[in-house]
Amino acid sequence: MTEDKSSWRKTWWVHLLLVGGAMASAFPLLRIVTVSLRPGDRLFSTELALIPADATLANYVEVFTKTGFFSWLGNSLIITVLTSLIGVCLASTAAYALSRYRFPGKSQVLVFLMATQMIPVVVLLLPLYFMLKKLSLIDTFAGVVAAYSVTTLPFCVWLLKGYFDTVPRSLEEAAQVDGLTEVGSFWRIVLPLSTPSLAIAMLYSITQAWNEYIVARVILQSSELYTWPLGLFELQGDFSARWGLFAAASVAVSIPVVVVFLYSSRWLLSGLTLGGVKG
Amino acid sequence: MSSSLTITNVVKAYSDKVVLNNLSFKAEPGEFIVLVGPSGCGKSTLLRAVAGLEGIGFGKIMIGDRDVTNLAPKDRDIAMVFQDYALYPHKTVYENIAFGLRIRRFPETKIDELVRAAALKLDLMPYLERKPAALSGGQRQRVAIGRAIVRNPKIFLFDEPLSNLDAKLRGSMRISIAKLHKELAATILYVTHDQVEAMTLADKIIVLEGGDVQQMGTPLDLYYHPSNIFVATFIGSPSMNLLEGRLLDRDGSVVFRSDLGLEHRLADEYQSVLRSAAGSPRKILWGVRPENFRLAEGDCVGPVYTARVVVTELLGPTSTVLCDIKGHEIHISLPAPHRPTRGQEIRIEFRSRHLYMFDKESTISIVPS
Repeated sequence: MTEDKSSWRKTWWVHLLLVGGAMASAFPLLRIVTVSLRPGDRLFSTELALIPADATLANYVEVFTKTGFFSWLGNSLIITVLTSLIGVCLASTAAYALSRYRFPGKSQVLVFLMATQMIPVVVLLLPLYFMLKKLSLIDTFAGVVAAYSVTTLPFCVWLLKGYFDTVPRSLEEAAQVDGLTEVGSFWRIVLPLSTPSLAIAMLYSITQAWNEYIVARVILQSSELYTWPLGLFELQGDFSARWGLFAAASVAVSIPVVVVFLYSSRWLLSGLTLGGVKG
Repeated sequence: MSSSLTITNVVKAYSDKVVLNNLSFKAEPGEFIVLVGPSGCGKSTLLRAVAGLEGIGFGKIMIGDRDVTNLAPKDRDIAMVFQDYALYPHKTVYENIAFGLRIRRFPETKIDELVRAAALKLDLMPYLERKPAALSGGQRQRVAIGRAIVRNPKIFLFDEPLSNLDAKLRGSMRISIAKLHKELAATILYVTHDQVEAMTLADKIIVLEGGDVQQMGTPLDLYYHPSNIFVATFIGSPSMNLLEGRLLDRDGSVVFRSDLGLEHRLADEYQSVLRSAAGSPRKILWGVRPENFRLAEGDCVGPVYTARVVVTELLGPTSTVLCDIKGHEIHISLPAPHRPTRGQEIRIEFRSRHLYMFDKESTISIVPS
């Protein structure tokens, strides 16, 4: 009995700590929701109610009707879809080559890819800018997509290579004996078995491209090409910041990402390759 | 329809190691060829080379009268059963078996007919909708075999298909494979390191060691007329005993005398053929199979030795007894009722119509077959 009590006391502290931590991290998010629902004159109120008594959707209405919100959202969507598709296509083929073939310089390539992850994007900004300038890609979606793809690729390559390494080679050999080419066995056997890692690579690319600000700031100059992070920043007027609009827009852009996460969780199954070969 | 398989002067080497050293042999249509040898002898490499999964440095591989040396696996019209089964884990048993047919664009009705026929033959009907993960080891191996037979290829390749199964299952699968071979009249190239599988399944065994063919022949050929020490000790279980000594001429007959003083007069039919070797200083190894001994009771035809039992291993129907005969440690096989205990003295008779003698230096048999 006493033992139960002392263990309960121990976990009680742990849980208190966890609840505190969870509240601390959730508070800013909830606060944004609250702020987005407040009328303009009560933005800086210290009231703690999640849904204020005089809640209004005015901020949302204004963001959706009086700003370029949907154009920003559309731009972000185009860039995100292209980045994640290109990224996953290139990463999966590169990772497959690195996983399956022996060629000179293979280990150097892997180390090099890893090394690029150590460099913060800000450092790459200047060279990236000059390269894109030379290629006339400044102020184009293509420029942003290229920049995002190269920054997300190394991680995706490592991730996928690690997974492909666990797919038994004899499965592809069996498929080739069954009548597929090497490319065919990659496409019809290896990729379907790798959906969990492909989903993770995809999610990673999507979140990277969706939330990015600095690179987009440098490359995109025309306001009609702005992604939502750039657009949101525009809401800070010269004389006053429109925090209500800012909050409403922030809540609105988070929704697609949450939906994508929830949807993709069904692909994040483990054990897909179970039972194919004798363990 | 099954085809012949002709391997001509095949050489395969990795950076510094020769894996297949100028290998040649021919499998006739419908023949069951077993490649046998210890691990690393090149048998799996040869099988993979025939499948096209591994390139060769030199030589030619023909299936029927078609040169397939440089063809991709898919163009060779072969089927392979892998050691680890290599089933597609995301497909059902049905889809696994149908996969090769779908790729070859067989009509769906034909596929269904062929898959069900194969499943019936392999007792897989109740499992067609299951994924491989929900099957036992033996069932998975049957699916792998089903995937191979459904396409009716020119050649079947088996890469140690039974080595992952437990002993009982291995026995029954061995019989299934033998039956299947009879039914399909297929040309089969089968790799194993298990000499029991080799002996029971093969029409022809090829013993490989170090990338070289040591001997090629029917199972009984290899058992009774091994061409060298490697084959002699590899085929047969328990392994053949080897006694070192010389051939002497004693009163006009050829006698083997071991270094420790054990003597054995050669049977009459071998007297004349080995007379020239008698008295020669070269070292000879006399091979004695454990199963050629029996307890000396009643009238004895062969020579009788007194042996002291060192260890007895009970195997059920037989016992393997390690005993000491004049300082030689020799394994003998005795039928079940005899279970001599450690330290016991037994009298054993040696009886064999076949003589195994090898030159120690070259390891080659000196007995004409």
